[in-house]
Parts: sequence; structure tokens; C-alpha cells
Amino acid sequence: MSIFVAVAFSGLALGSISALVALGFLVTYKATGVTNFAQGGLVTLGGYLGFSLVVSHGANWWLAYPVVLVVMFVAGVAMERVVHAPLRHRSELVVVIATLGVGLVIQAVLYEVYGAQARSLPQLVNGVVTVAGARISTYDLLILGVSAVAIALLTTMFNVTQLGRQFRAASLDPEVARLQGIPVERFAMFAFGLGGLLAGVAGLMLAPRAALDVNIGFTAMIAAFAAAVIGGFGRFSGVVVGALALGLVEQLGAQYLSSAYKEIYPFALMILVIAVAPRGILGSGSRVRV
Amino acid sequence: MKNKKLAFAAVAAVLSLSVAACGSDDDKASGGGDKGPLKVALMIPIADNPTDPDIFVDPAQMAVDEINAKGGIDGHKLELTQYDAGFTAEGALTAMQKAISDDVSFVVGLPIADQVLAVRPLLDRAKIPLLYLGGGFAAAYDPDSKTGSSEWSFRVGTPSEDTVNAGVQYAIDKLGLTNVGLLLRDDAGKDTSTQAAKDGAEAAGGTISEIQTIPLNSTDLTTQILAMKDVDAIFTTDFVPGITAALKEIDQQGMDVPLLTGQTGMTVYLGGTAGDLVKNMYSSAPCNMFDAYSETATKWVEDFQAKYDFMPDPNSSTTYDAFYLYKEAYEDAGGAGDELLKSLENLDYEGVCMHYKVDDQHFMGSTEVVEDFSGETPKTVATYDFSK
Repeated sequence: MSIFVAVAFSGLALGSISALVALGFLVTYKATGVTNFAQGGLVTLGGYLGFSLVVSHGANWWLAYPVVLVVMFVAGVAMERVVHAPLRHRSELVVVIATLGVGLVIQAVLYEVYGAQARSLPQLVNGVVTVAGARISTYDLLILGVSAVAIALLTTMFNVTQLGRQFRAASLDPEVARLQGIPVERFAMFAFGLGGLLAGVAGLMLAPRAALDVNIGFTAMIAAFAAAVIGGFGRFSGVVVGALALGLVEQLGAQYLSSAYKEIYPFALMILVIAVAPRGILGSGSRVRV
Repeated sequence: MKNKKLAFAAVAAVLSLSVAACGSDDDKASGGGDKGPLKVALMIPIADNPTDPDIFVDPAQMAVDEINAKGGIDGHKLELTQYDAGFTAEGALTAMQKAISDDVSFVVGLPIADQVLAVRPLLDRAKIPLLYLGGGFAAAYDPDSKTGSSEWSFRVGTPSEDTVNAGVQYAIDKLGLTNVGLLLRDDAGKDTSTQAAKDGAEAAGGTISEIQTIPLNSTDLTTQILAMKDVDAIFTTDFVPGITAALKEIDQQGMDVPLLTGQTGMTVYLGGTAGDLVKNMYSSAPCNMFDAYSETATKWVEDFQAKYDFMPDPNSSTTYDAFYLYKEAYEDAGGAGDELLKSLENLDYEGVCMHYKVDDQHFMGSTEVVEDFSGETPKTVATYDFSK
């Protein structure tokens, strides 16, 4: 039982990080119809910015981390201005490829600046707690907590605030939304910025778990994309459930089947879900439902 | 009559030119009758290298500068050029073709066995030595086989399997931990590493009781470490992220087992990615730069640190030694060609990393040391000799 609990918590922690990245995908997709394949690069950028401020410059995390999140929001907005706005009237495929290019550029620049060697970003908390006989890292519990708060804030914003209602309207029908005076183009900027911010949170949470290197975001992005597909690219709740399911399947599959195929289990789940429920677990045909 | 004279003159001119060309080829093989430069290729992954390429580039440049300052190799100055071979056989082939077309005299580099095997035809045709820096038995030279690496390939150091063997033996016969678990990076060397571990366990009287695989790019080792709950020690072949994750997970699970690694353990120590958790780690490597095996080596480490401001690791020292190994062989042979090959095969040289003596599989080294990280600096606690 203790092994099951330990493995499950580890899966939930990894799934939570995937959920943050996947929500970044979803927010951008809802606003623009574009899947932003620079999310992986942005996750890595968030991790390295945290390393630069906390480790290289000795800043306290409570000062450094908000700065990182602001920078990541700005980076997302800048990306929209550079990649999405000029290509707005081109096909979505062109924009998607452009985002992939941006992700690769980010990775290359980080490699040039920080080099190839792995770095270490300290965990905010250390130690373990015992749950049902299993030793659970307090840092994993922190990841779960931070992710839950981020998801709750996001959901609240989109469901309760006027900003969220306008965003949903712009997603449903941009032309009608413009006629209503809703600044649709600004929502695209906001969506990319929000995606960058979520990637930053994911990077800051993920980096201390192992070692920070230029590939850390790519792996997270692939898992998050699978989670978004499982969730249906529709509801936030679907994406979150998909991401958590992915993390659990990966870890439990490695524990009780074989660790050699650990990386295959999430994608096997994705293929199964697509085959049985093509719109995802909780997905729908509409882009607007949150 | 006049036409006949012209024809004889033309034939004589052609023959003269041919003799001159042959003569200049011989001169080129010996480095140039006018002591022209010897071009050397440093063939390593530059882009996409998970470690800093400077650990190869700086010691190479240091060796070249030193040798040139003392008059070069038999009067020939060295010219160093870098070629990015990446991590693939295709990359190695492209880089080697370029280097050969650039007229290099020898090559230092190629850390992957597949790369060494891939360039065999090129080396056999060009008859230039490759002093390669990584890989194990898969890249060994076998005179009785058409597989294996070129006769012109020489491994500067020991096969990587000996690293695993030494670490496992140390855990069993020195630490008294007879039940060893293997945590293997999922790559082409997995099977030979497993066999090497089993050989080491058998030699020391222990067993390999658990084998787990780490998928590439994995950042979580919870399931793998939990599977090792009943072992006394864990040996891993993974790189920095995997070693760091393993140390953290072992600590989190409250397991009182040491982690043994290959020479990448030193990179983890130097990079600080696992903090104080390295005190629970041992590493097997060709040499320990913090606890060098000779005064000459200790002096070299001090000079290197003063010049480049970082601690060299075994890759750095073997890269540096490669240039002096070639120098030794070249000067002994009096030039290039088949005599150089014989000279390389009979090398017996004291380098900064180890004593080099070439075996019949063209491995130039046979010793591995085990490093303990529990003290202020890494200490060599055992040496294993795999010479046949």
C-alpha cells in the first residue's frame, strides 16, 4: 500500500505540472485557434530565469519568482506580437510551425547563454511527510498545492469575471465580439501572455525536481500536449483530469507493469482515449466552454 | 623526327611530374619535407552536447600550445581544428570526411562507439590514427574480424564496461554490500553494461539482484528507486539529471544505500546539482583529478585550473594525453604510415590521467579508480587493474 501511495503522489505531482503546461496550450488555443508549440521552450525559460535570479544573483525566491512570472507573461505577449499577429490571416498550420520555431530558438539561446551543463534550482521546501506509510516529498505536495491554486484562479477568472466572459465571447465568435466592442486582438495577446505565465510556473516547479537543462521543457510539453488531447482541448476540467490521469498512468504503469516502457504508457492512454472518445474525456465541439 | 623529339619530351615531362607528386605524397605522410604543420582534428559533439565542449577543447588547445612551444612534433607545428561530429554515426562520417579532405594527420575525439565503427572505412583508406575518447568493447579492434573498429583506432583509456565492473566490485568487496541493483540508462550500452556488472559481481562474490531502466529524458525515478528497496547498493550508468534524481529519490525514501556511478559522478559533484547528497555517492573513473596518481598529474591539474579556471575531469586529461601519445608514437616511428601504426600499438607512456599501455584490442588504458565524495574533496579509495 505504501508503494502505491508513494507512486501515486509522484504521478499526481508530475501530472500537476503537465496540467499547468496543458492549460497554457488550452488558453492560447481557445483565443486564437493556435496550438502554441513554444510552450516547451517557455517552460525551460521559466526554469532558467528562476535559476539566474535565485542562484546566480542570490535573490530571495519570494522576490525572484514573481519577477519571473511577470517576465514570462511579457515573453508570451511578445511572442504573440512577433509570431501570431503578423501571421493572423495565414493558415493555422503556418502559425503552429512558427511557434515551433520560436521554441527551438528559445532552446538554442538558452544553450548559448547557460551552456550544456545541468544546473540546480533549489527546492522551496525540503523534507518528507508520511502518508499511509509512504514517504512523500513535501516539495511534491507543494507542487500539488501551487497547481491547485493556479487552476482555481484561472477557472475563477474565466467563469466569474467580466474579463473572462469577454474572453469566452471572443473565443466563440470573434466577429460578433468585435461588433460588441470587445478587443479581440488584445485577448490574443492576453492569452499568449497567460500561456507564458503558466509555462513559467511549470518551469519553476519542475526544475528543482531533478536537474535543469535545456531539454526539460520539451519533455513536459509533449506530456502536456497528450494531456490536452485526452482532455479534449475544450474544458479546463478535462485537461486537468487528463494531465493527472497521464501522470498516474505513467508512474503506476512503471511500477506495476514495466519501467522500461514508462514513457509509452501516457501515449497509449492518449491513443485509447482518441479511439473511444475522439473529443476527449470531457471535451466538446465548442471552443468556448470552460 | 621533330615530332618524335617532342613526344619524348612530353613523356619525360609527365614522368618527372609523376615522380615529383609521389615524392610530395611521401613528404606529406612524414609531415612535409620542409617541416610543414601537422593538422589535427578535434572531433567532438559541439552543438547539443550535454556537457560543456570546453572540457575537450581547452585541454586540446593546452596540449597543442605546449607542444608547439617546444618545437612541435619532430619539428612540425600542430594546427588544431574542431569538427562537430554530434552524437550520431552520420555526424561522425560527415566530420571525418571533411577532416580527411582538409588533410589532417590525426584525429582526437568521437565519444560514441557507433561513431568509431562508422568511420572505419574512412580511416582504413586514409591511414590516419583516430585516438577516440569514449566507448567500450563495441568499438574494440579485432584483427580477426571484419566488424569492429579500424586498426587505426585507439581508445585513450579503458573500455566503459570496466567502469561498471570496477564500481560493482568496489561495492561488494570493499563496502561489503553484496546485493547490488543496476539502474541503467536506456541506450545502446545497456546490455554490455549489464554483463560487465555481472562479471564484476561474480569476481567479487556478490550478485546483481535488481535491474531497472531509466528512459531517456526521464526526470522522475520514484518507481525505479522503490524497486531497489531490498538492495545494498545501486550502480547507475545515467548522466547528470538521472544521477541527481536518483540521489534525491534515495534520500526521500530514507534508503541507506550508496549510489555508485561512472565518471559522470564527478560532473554531478562539480556542478552541485545534488548538493550534499553526493556524500552518499561513489564514482568509478579512469582517474581522479582531485587526487591525481602522480606529482606530474597534480602539477598539470594546477596549471590547467590556473589557465582555464575550472577543474578538469577525466575527459579533459585523456584529451590532453591523446596529443602526447601521438607525439610519442610519431617521434618513435620517425613519421606517419605503417611505422606509426606499429609505434602506436607498442606505446608505453605515463600520462596525466593514467599509465598507457596498448592491448591487442587497441585499448590504451587498463586502470579504473573509485572516488569517495564523503570528504572535503573527492578521494581515491580503490584502484582496479584490468590489464590482460
